[in-house]
Amino acid sequence: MSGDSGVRSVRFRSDTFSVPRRGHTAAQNEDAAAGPRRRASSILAAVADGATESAFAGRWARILAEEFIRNFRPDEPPEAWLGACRSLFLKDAEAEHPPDPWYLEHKRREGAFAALAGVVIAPGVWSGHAVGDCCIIHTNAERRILHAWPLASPEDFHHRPELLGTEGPMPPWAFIQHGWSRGDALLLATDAAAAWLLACGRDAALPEFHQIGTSAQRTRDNGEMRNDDLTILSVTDLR
Amino acid sequence: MPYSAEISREEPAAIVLLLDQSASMKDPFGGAEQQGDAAPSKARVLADVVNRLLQNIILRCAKEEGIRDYFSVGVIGYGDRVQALIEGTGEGRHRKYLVPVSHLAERPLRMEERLKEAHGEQAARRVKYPVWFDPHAKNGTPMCQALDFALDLVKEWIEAHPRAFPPIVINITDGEATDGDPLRFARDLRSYATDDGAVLLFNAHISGSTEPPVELPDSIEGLPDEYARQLFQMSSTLPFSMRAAAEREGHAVNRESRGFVFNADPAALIRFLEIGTRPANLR
Repeated sequence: MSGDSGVRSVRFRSDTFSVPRRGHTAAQNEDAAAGPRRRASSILAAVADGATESAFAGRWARILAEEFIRNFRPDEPPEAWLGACRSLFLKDAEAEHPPDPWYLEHKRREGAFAALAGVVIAPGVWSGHAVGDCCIIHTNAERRILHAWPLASPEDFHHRPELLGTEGPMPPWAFIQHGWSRGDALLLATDAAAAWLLACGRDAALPEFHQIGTSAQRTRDNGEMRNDDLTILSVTDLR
Repeated sequence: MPYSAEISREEPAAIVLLLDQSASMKDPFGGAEQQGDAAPSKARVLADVVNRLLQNIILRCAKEEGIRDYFSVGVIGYGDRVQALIEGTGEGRHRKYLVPVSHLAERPLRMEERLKEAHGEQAARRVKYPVWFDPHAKNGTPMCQALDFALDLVKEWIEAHPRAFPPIVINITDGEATDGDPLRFARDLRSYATDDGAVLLFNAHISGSTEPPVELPDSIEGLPDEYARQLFQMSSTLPFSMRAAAEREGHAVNRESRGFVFNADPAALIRFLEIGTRPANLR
């Protein structure tokens, strides 16, 4: 998906690629991508990755990504925003409810978990907001990596990141801010895709963004990457 | 890298639990919270721990649309006889005695209701827990026969899943074998392999002692007796993913660390089983 949009002084192009792991249907994709979306003078975009071992993880990931672009306020503490996401999740869960088998009762009580990375882009500056191992990769006009955050190299990924839950205490919330220039881009990616991007971009430019998703999928399906849901959302500055 | 095969519905992993059901399992479990006359027997604690383990394995595989068969599980008791404690409906021994988790989830022996204590913002409430088998303790310790039973299952499983993560066999016992030298059977079992690696055999010794447990040792040095040394030699080293799980449980491990715990109390047994049944993180 790509589009041009003018937002006062922020013009951008975006591409979104999201596929489930090999062998799964689209409905079983537990990644979510939302945006870019304009709010006042800013652009917001987000990706989220539901935890495989939790049930309803895909639904939770979609709520987090969509609520980020709709209602997240970077100048307010994230707890209230998370509370609103949780209320939406509970409302969904209560709406459809035939009697659960014992294991689904347990899973509902455990709740769902997901990682999240979102960006707020204003003219000349962007801020990143994240929990877990979804990544934001900032590249220049030549598609060389300038910054990668909150994880900076493929070796930093492991199987037990912090996650946002549908209940429980708020995990550590990470924040970063950088300037950006004409032609720069931000790529938001879930963990398997992010690790691959960081490996590709270590010593060379990243692939063209409109092809980057299919390149990642081909690498995965050749067995050169862990079989996982893949999501990459790119936002390129066109000033 | 060995032991890195993806665990999926197409290539599930097999977990076989061998449970000592000899007469001495009626004795109290050392290190349990209740002591004296209220102390539970080793058989009682073991049944509770393994029923809870089966529940947790199923919950790891549970999604809103149903249970994904990432695992097949076998539970074999050995005491007055060697017998499967759970059974499926498939043809062939390995399909009958290595039961897909979806089948297990739908067919517990019974559901028990227990009070779950308040936790954080959640009030105490009655919760249903599945039970698949009850404690049993009678006669001797035919560990060699149990290992041989496991070997038959594992051989058939490997023929059906030659590229999968290799089967994991966990033996839980409170005493020595009474039917021969189990080391030979252990070596036979561990000689089988899929393309991803050799069968993993782990051993947990549980006892009435209140001596601290020896957990995941990397050397035979310092083990308290000949029996502990035998169980150590029967045990496989931990693959990478399980070493990572062990580190998360607070253990200092290395490439030589074995899947073996001696003198385990209930808490050590639970930790050990948590480590030994996580061949890979499903995330």
